[in-house]
Amino acid sequence: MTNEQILAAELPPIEKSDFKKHPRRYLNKNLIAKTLFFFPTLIVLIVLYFVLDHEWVVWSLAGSWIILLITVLYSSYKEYFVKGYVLREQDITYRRGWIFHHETTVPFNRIQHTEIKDGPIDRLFNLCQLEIYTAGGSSSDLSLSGLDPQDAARLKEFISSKTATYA
Amino acid sequence: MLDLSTPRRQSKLSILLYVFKNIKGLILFFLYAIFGIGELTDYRIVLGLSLAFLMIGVIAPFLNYYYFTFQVVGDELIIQKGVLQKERKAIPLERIQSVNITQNLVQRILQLVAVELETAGSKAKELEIPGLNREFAESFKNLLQEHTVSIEDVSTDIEHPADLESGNASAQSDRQELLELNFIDLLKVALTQNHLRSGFLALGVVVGFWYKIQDIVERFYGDIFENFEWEDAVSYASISLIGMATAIFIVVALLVSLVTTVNKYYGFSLRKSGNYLELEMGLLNRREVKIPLKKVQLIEFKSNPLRRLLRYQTATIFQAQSDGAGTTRVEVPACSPAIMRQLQHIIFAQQPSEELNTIPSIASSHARLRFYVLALPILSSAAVFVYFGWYVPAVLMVLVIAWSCFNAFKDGQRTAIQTDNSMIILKKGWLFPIKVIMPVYKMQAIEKWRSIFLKRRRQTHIQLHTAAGSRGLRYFKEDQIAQVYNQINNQVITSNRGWM
Repeated sequence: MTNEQILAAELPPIEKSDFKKHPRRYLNKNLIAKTLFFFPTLIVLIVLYFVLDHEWVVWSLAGSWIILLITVLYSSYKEYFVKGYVLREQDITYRRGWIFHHETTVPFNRIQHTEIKDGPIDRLFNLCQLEIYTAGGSSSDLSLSGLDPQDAARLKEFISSKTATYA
Repeated sequence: MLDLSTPRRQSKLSILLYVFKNIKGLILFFLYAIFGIGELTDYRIVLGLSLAFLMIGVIAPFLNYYYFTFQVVGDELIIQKGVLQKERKAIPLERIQSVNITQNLVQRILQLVAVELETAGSKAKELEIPGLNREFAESFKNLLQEHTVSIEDVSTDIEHPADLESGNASAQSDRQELLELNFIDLLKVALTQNHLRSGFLALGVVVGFWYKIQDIVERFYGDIFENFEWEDAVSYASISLIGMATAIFIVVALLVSLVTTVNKYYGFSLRKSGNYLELEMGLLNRREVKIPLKKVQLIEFKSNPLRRLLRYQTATIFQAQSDGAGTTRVEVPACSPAIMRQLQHIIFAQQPSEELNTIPSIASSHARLRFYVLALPILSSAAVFVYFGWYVPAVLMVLVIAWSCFNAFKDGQRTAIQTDNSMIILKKGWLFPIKVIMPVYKMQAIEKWRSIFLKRRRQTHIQLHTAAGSRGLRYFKEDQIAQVYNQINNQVITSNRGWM
């Protein structure tokens, strides 16, 4: 049995740990889902092309549609390489966002409960989403999207066992 | 000792309370109905209306009263209510954060009070017993709170024995009056309110009310309005009229500030009693709030130029909250520096420490952001003015942007994070300074974030999440934030004090 004294100042900083990336298929899923999301607007554009007399309106709309699509796809491509999580003995850290980059750390002794979610597209790619809830408003809740289901289950198990000891 | 093992009903007078409540809700509807139908000659309509009135105004209150019961079973308070749609709420006593007694005008006439229970998850007004008589409410409140205290004390003894001497529920012996506001104080508070907000509030009420009664007014005075056109009114407008309107706006704003302040804070008193902070306030609607000191998550001190002249600030005390529920905070207006120190000391048991580690924000970045945001709209409109040869408004525009950027720079200079072993202090604001004080062990999560443009500059923002919401500051050096980030996180990990 060991019971060594822990000093807060001596604990390792987060920057020294390796961030684990999401599986590669998460990138594919994201790109496909974003493109699918844009399709209904394309249909609107085509309808407009036949309805409107002013062609320049339609062409400028189409131009901005393409630019928007490329921006969205490019930023989610870039985001994939930024996203990642670190699970340590006492806390979990998640990084996300390319244009607005966020890094959030939640210690296990402040977590209320965890939840695994998946949507139809997620299931198609064999992915799921782990939600980590804290008390109070929703601002500090973490949502790790695009995890391998087995990884997510293991993460959930690990976090639950840790939070249970503090409850 | 109060016995709540069997289901209890409220005071019988609460029937009258329900009558008032239902009739108040119906009045507008009936006005619409009467004006909508136009003539009351048809006896069937009159009969139907009065039957509905009788049902809702007289019979429903009796049923409401009869079916509203509450009791304590084991460690839970059980509230049952509802006639057609039954509701049964079980609240574990240890989850109750604070028990408040409130009294609105009707309740005061009937000499009843409402007991409101707050938990971290409940929405406002959800857990309310609206009609109890005073003595019953007091003993009910004490009963509930004894439960909470006794449960908390068990854990307290194990976790930090330092609290043991003061903590032992010595409620009556440990009373300490902190603050009472007399009428002069109230006047000071009223004069230093945000008058712009009061003015717009009054304007909003007038406009909203006007749309409601417009139909009815036009029905009776239709011919007067027939020839009235907004265009005429606008075309008659002149400088003197604008001046008049501004003067009226200012006077009304001041009056609204005065009335709302007096109504809200009349007879304000703040005291510490055992492990609780007790507040009382209100003229028409009285409010008595009792907050367990352990549940306080953070205190915020706000000021403005007028208040600084009078040398006091407004403190807001936040407890753990759920989304959108605003009831879990209380304001203490007119805090002198001495009271501020006392409050901090009482709530967080904090000794004033000299060794604060201060991380200053980068002021020029604040000014730069403000410039980027304002530059496009303001400079382009200034260019338009110049094009048309209107030089005065163009210069005004440039002055506005200069002043705003200067303001942002000054704000940035005042922005800083201060930490010591147990506390985090966030400071920001130049003309309207805000100071947030929170204990490190109450943090739930820490976040640092930056836009892609800040990556090159090696700057970052920080956001601290507590159960009472998030507080953040902007533009710090990345390495300094990384250090404080790890420090806070590690302190939270090693802390085993109850934080909610």
